[in-house]
Amino acid sequence: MNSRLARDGHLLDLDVDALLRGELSLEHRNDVEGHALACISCRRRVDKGDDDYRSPLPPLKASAGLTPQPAEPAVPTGSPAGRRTVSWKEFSKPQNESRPPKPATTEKSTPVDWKRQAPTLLLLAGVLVVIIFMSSSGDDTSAQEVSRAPSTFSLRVYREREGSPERLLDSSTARIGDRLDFEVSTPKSAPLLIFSTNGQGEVKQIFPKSGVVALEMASGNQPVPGSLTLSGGPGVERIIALSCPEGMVIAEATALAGGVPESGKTPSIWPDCDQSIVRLKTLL
Amino acid sequence: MGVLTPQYLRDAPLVRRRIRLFFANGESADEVLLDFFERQSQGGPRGAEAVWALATKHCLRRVRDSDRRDLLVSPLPSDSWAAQSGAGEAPGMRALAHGWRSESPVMLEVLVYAEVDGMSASQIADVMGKPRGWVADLVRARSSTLGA
Repeated sequence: MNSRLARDGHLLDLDVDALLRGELSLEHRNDVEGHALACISCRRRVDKGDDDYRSPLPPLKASAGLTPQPAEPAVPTGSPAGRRTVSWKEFSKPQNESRPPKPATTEKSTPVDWKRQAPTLLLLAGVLVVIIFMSSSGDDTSAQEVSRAPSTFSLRVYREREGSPERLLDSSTARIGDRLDFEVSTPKSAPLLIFSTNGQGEVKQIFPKSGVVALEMASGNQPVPGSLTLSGGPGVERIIALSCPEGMVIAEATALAGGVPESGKTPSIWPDCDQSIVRLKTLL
Repeated sequence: MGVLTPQYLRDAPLVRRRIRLFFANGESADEVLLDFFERQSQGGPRGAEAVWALATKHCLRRVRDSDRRDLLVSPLPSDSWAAQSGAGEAPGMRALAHGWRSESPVMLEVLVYAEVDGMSASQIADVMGKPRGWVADLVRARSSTLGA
């Protein structure tokens, strides 16, 4: 967005919500938080918003969800965006208020009785040796967990072929009329943009389908909501996925797509973003 | 049994706050909230701006479909910009309160952002995904009508 304040110089309602959802870019967040700390009425609005985000929600009807989870009749929202780990009130409190007071005591700490604790210490040492041994034998489940997380950003393109998905690699051939679906692997949560452009410079936005800025995608391997049906004439369709810092404007990103060559290595065209590009030769 | 979805947990607080500008707290606001998510259950994650715009459209549609006379709740929620700024007393807002039913859906949306939310043409253009000039023309046309 442009200026983050309403016409009278106070915070927009939208920005109060964007702040509480943790969606503002660092620069805008500093502006909004700075204003809220200095302006009593806006600070009250943000405080009230923080309360709203924590108050119970009515449960959805069973037909309305994509991934239903059982719910009690009243559901505290907690951290709804999954990203807002520190509440506004915790942030805005002076540091000395956010810490519990130390108990006023003059007692000395109790000395450790090493003789009594010896069996426990020996047991702990034994457990430590077993853990080290298992690590060195290669049977390390935590290492397996880590290996599941993607280390690089990548886009995968699929088309349906005889009822099952067929992956299309860079420089594959596809036909006009093929419907393409997408998956991304992203090592970190970040705004995602996927679009395609053909030889005529026509740009089709795939994710998000509309809007002006890229939308946050959680880390991991996941399907992308949105598909593309190849249309137009034969040529090369470039499908471009970008994982960028917050606030990336879609129009600015798509304007640079002409720099993607039809084949071969693609230079880093979007310097602030991770890019993954699949080029398809399209036939009638 | 009720259900939760990640989308609902993420977006419902924002949508509910938006609804409170148009519908009084209580059963009717909850019903509008659940109706919103029944209609918006498909699609990927959306940013605050997109959800906010969808919620605004949804509220305006629901208000328009009702037989009520007032566009907004009275009194306005104390934590809203409109209440904070005293926008309810501004000429544009007073005209909107009386004549909102005669506005087209798009014009009404623009006017709500301008008068009720205090947004500039650029900010409205961002939220609606329209060119700034298009928004500015609509706001200007409305101002000249009010001035006539």
